[in-house]
Amino acid sequence: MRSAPLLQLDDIVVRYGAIAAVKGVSCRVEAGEIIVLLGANGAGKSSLLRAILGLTPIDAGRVQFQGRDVTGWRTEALVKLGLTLTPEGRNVFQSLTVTENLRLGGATMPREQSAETMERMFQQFPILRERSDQLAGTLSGGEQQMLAIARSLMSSPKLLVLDEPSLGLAPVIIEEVFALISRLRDAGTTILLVEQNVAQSLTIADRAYLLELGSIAREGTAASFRADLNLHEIYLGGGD
Amino acid sequence: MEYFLQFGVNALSLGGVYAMLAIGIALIYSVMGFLNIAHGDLLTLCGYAMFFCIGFGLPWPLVIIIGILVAGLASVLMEQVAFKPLRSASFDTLLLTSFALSAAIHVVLQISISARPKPVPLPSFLTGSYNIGDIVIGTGQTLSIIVAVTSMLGLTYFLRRTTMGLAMQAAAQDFDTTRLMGIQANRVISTAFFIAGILAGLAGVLIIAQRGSVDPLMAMNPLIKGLIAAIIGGTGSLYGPVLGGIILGVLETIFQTVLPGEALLFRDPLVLSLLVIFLLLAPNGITGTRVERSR
Repeated sequence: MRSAPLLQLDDIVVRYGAIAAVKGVSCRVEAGEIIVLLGANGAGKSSLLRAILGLTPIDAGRVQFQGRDVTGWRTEALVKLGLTLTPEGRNVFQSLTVTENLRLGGATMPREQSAETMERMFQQFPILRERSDQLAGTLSGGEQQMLAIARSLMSSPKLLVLDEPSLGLAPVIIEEVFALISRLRDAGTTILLVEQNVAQSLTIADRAYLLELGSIAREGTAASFRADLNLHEIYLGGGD
Repeated sequence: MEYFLQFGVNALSLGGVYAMLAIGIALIYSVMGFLNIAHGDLLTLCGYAMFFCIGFGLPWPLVIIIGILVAGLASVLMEQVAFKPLRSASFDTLLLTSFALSAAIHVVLQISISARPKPVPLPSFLTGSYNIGDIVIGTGQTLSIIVAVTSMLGLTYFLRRTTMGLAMQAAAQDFDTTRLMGIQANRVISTAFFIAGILAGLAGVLIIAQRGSVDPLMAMNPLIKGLIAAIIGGTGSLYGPVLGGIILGVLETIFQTVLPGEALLFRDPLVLSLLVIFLLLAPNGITGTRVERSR
C-alpha cells in the first residue's frame, strides 16, 4: 500500500459571497517534493493557500495532511501539526527585532528547543545574527524575506508553503531565495511554492500545477512544463 | 517651589488614572481594531463589586483585590459574549455593539440595584493626606502615581519580554501572520481584554476612593477622558496613551488652578476645545503612529 501524500486536496471550493475564487481544486504534495503552483494574478492562488491554512473558510472539499482530514481546522492547530505558510509580501513584524520575530516563530515549542532552533537559524542565515537586535522594519527586502522564511522554519514544519517569495526582490536576491528553497528541501522540508517567476521556479521544482480562473488547467512534472516553451505566453500572457 | 510640587502631584495623579484607562482602550483598539465604549463600565462594575464585598464585611484588602479582578474578568466576559461572535465584523459594527453593551450594563444596574449612588467607604489611608513641609499631599493622589507608574512598568515588561506580550504586539500589526506562528488568536485576545480590565479596575479603585460612592452612570466622564488620552497620544504604542493621559491631567490641573471659581464649570469644555484644535492639527495623535492593520 502506498503511504498517503503529505498534503492532499480534494475538490476545494472557496467562495467570497457569490464569487467562487477556487472552483474545485484537487492536488497533492508528496513528502520531499518541491511543488510549484503557477498562475496569473487573480487565478485563485492566494485564496487556495489561505484556505489550506485555515485563514479563509473552505466552502466544499477536503484537506488531508499526512492522511488525516484537517478540513476546517484552525490555523494554530495546523501549525502545530507541521504545516505553515510564509505569507506574500513577507509580513515580518516590523516593530519587533529580528530575534523577537524568530522567537514568535518558535512560540509553540518549549523554550530550550526554540533557543536551539534559533541558533540553527542564525548559522543558516548569518546576516540575521548580525542584525539580531535590529527592528525587522529596518532590514532590506531580501533580508526581510530571509527572516520571514527563517521565522516559519522556527516551528520545524514538515510542509512549508511559500507565497511569492521572490516578489519585489532584486534578481541577485531572487537567485539566493531559490537556492535556499532547494537547500531546505534537501534538508528534509517539503515545499509548496506559489510563484509568478515561472522559469526559475520550474528549474527547482519536481512537479507543477497551473491554476487558471480558480481551476487546475494543467499538471505535470516540472520538466514537461519546461519543455513546453510557449507555456509562458499561452497561459500567463507573457512577460515577467 | 511648593506650588509646583503641589501642581505636579495633582497633574500626575490625574494623568496617571487617565493613562491607565487610555492604555486599556488603546490595547483593545490595536488588537481588535475598535474602540470599546463599554470599557468605562468596568470601573462601575469594579465599584459595585467593592460595594457588595463591603456589605459582606470582607476585609478591605480583599475588597480591593476582588474589585480589580471583577473588572478584569468582566472585560474578558464582554469579549466572549458580545465581541467574539462578531470577530470578522467591521469597525462600525463593533463600535455600535460596544455602545449597546454599555447601555445594557447601565440599565441592568439601574433596575437590579438602583439608579442612586451607593456608598463605597474605602479605608481612610486612601482618602487622607500628609504634609511635606508646608504642602498637603493626598495619599490617594500619591497612590495614584505609584500605581500608574508600577502598572506601566509591569506592562512594558510584559510586552517586551514575554512571548505573549510579543504576540500581542505582533497581533496588532498582522493578526493572520501571528496565527501562522501557531499562536492562539483567542488567547491573545482574552489576555488583552484581561489586562485592559485589570488596568480599568485599578483606575476604578483610585477613582472610587476619591468619590466614596458608585452609581450606574459614573463611568461616563472617566471613559471620555480615557478615550481622549488614547486619541491625543495615539494608539500605536504604550507611550502614546500615557503621554495623552499626562497631557490631559496637566491641562485640567492648569485650568483648575487658573480659572476663577465661577468659571470652573468651563474646565471640561475648554479642555475639549483644545482637543478639537489639536486633532485638526495632528489627526494621528502625538506619537503619529497609526497601526496599519489587517484582520
